[in-house]
Amino acid sequence: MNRQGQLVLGLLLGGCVSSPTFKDQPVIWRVNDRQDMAKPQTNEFERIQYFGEVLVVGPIEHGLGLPDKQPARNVNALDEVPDSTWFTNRLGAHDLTPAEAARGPVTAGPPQLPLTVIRGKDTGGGNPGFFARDATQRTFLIKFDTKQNPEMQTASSVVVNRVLWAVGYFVPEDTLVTFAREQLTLSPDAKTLTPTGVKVKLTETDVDRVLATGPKTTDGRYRASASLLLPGTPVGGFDPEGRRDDDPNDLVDHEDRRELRGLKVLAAWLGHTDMKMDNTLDMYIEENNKHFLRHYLLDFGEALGAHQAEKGRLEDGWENVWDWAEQTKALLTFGLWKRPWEEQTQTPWPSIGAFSSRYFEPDLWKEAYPFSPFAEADKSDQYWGAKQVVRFTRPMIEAIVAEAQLSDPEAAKYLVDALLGRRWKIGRDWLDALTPFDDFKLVGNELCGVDLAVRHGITREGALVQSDDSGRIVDERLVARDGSVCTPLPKAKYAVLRLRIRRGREVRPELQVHYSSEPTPHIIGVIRQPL
Amino acid sequence: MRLTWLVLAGAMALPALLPQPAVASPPRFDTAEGAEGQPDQARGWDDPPGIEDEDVALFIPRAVLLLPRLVLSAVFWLPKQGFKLIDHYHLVERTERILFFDEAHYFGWMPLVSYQSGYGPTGGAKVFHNALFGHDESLSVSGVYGGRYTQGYRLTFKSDRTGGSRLWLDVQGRYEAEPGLLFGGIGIVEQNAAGSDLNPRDSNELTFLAQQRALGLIRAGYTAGQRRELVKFGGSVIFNHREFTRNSVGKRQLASVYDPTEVPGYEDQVNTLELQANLIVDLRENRGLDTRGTYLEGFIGGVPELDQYAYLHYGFELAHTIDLYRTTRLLRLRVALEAVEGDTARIPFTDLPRLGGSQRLRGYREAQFRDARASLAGIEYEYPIHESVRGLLFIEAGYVAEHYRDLVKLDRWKVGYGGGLLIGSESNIAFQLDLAYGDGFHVYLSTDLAQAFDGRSEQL
Repeated sequence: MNRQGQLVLGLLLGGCVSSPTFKDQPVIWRVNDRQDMAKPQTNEFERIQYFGEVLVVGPIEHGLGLPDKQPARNVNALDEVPDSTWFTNRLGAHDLTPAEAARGPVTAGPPQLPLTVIRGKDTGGGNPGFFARDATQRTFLIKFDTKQNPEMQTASSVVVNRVLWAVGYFVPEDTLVTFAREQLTLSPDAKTLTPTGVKVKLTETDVDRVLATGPKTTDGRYRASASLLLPGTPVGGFDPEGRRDDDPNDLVDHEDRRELRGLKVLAAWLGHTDMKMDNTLDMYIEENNKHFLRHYLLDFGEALGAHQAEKGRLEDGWENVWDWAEQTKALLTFGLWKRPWEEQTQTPWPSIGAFSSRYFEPDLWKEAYPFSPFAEADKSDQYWGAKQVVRFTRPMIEAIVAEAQLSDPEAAKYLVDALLGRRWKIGRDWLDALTPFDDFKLVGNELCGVDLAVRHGITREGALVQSDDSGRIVDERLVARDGSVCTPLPKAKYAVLRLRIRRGREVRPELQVHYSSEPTPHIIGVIRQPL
Repeated sequence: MRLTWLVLAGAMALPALLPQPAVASPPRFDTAEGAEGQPDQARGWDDPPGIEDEDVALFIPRAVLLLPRLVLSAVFWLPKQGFKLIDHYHLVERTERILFFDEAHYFGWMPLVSYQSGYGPTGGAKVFHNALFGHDESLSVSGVYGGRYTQGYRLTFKSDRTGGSRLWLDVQGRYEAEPGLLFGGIGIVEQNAAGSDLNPRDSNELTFLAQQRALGLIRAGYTAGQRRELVKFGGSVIFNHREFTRNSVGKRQLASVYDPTEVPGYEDQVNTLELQANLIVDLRENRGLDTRGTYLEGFIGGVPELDQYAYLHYGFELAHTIDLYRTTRLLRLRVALEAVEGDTARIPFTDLPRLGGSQRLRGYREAQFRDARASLAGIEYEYPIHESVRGLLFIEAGYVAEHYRDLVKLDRWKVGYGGGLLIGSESNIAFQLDLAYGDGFHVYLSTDLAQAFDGRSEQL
């Protein structure tokens, strides 16, 4: 029955609906969205149209529609994201060593000098840069820091790249490169596009102008981020809402994809406010004689406070660029309302700016340009994202931040601590908001798992409570110091374990684990946030 | 300082130091296991969840809002097409290229749009170069039409450090034809006299006249100090030529209410050559949004006895901003005084200090009040709304009188108050909208207010 039918039926029945059940089948950990397809049209990023839609028209139309909250539509029976052309489980599936996290997607390392500029940068955000070929004939997009905030954007591009890769997103191979002016030459065929789309010859003056926008290192060299060109043919970014009409593999509306909704949590953690279609890219690739799209996230140079610093807007991370609710409230309260971002202060490091954990409140976090999947994210999506975030350990974060090669060790240490502080708040607000009992396995006649909030240091203690259908408590066990805890299994062909984590007097919402004991005990499905 | 930050960050991160999972623990799940599913069928529902009660309850408001939604979709159709066109034809970039003649955006032109209650909309254009000799020398030529002006042209050169030297140089040439300027008598009377051929000191009846004016100004001096501690002093020569006729806007003529012979200059061409000594102390940090600091401008001079007009002319304006909260809530205090001294019959009515309008006493019409002395005090509160938008609340009070003793009768002062919006950046204000109430509602809109205080001071 479609949703309209359900709605009518729901009205007739006064909203009374039956409890959902799962098919008794193996959990799906991979989906096949790699069916052979013709090359789709390029989805151009039309800047004014996009911003007009997401900042002005969209919020009004969306608000009047009174849309209901739909759960994510691409999760599996365990409420996890199966591997696809959008996402590959890494940190969720298994722990990563700090070295693995630091290496990230990088296979062949940073560009080998010298570099040859082969064309101007007419894509990849508004910051100055160019495309250059290195000594091994690989092509990179080279981008620079701003003079006001040396090392900030280049550091962010590497740190965020590694984090998102570790979680499972497809990202380019981003590295850092430092070069002297004489190690940069200009190809005689190099061209660039003018702002009005006219192709013109790229000159040494143009290159020098780009270099002049960035700071130099103490030894007079240039530090830049280098993003290796992705394999395949680019066909534009993916729309935050809806699907590609010409992609038969695109079967789930993007705003209903768990990995895009849960990305909100990672974006909040990393201060990645510059989340927009222009910072995504679909590549038309060939694998095993099949052609299909792979969906990438890219251009992370404006996270970790860089978007805030570059645009000079302290409200970045708290308010959309055009925020109807907050800014109307500000207009009508005549400045008497002290907005939550106003107390922020700059750190002593230009490479860090005002990025901090002190003023970060996960529930107040907003991206700069409304991104539909973030708006649709519900508690289960936030839980999934938070679960990824808390799995980053201090050694992993230290190793990732070390990749950013910040010249001031104190700044690097501060950044690690700030990320850990924000991680803790995310765990508190978005992980421990539901029953954070996870990583299930069946041991004898018990369902065992981990209280992730205890395991990852968000809180110190808890108890796992099992109740029956009438709400009567049938079992209660204290969570061990490492977060592990078990609960007895009922004997039934299809049973629903109703579990809650209790912390002192506070009890988290019910988690349903659907289970069957036949032919052998196995978990059929999980509902994190029942209706 | 760094230590404080590190301690704070460390304290926030402390919980993360608690037990962490061991590295190289067994996998939580293996995505290679099992069969592949369809992207939209991975959940594996047998009996899927139903509709939440609150969503069911939304059915009725959704139905009610359906029509407004459809109407809104129709309304938004045009802007959406506009957005598409802007992108497709690179209209932003093309406009930028049309407006600016160089990459640094020093040299270009801008449309001018303003609106003033009582006059209506004015439009025009300004061609400018803001670094003529490479040291922020600003040259502009503008033309405006409509509203207050039949036509108006202005050539302006302004520089604090001409050619990098200490030479402060302002040059201005203006021609304006104004079909319906306001004249509301001289001074402020308690009760308007009735009838015609009135002495302008006996009534504040609003009448109108047409004016053609040519002005030439040269101001030269010395600039000391840098930005934020700028002191300029020098002298000015100002030539004014004015001719007056009956207004052509169909409103009440000056001569139908007032005795023209009692309005010095109205029946003659007025030519004056004024000499001034000028001092400006500019301690402001910036000249756009969140302007803070102190600004003082003073002058003394007059029109020497070369022709039928002669008088002494002096005045000052002082503005100071108090930072109420982290340079986001600002309280701007402003006082101004302007006076002329001499035989009243030898002072053209146009050169009497005036109050009213967008720069001085916004609750009243432009130049609604005039007399030998004019004083103004105002408080303006600026608060943040958006990164490029500030809100304003203001209250202003002013009075004009023949003698100083009348200026101190504060109960007679005219009071105006209101609010507004400023849109711009730290370096300039691109748009200002003021809604003010004094003797009625007045609306002022301007897109040429890059000189928030400078504009006000030009009235002196």
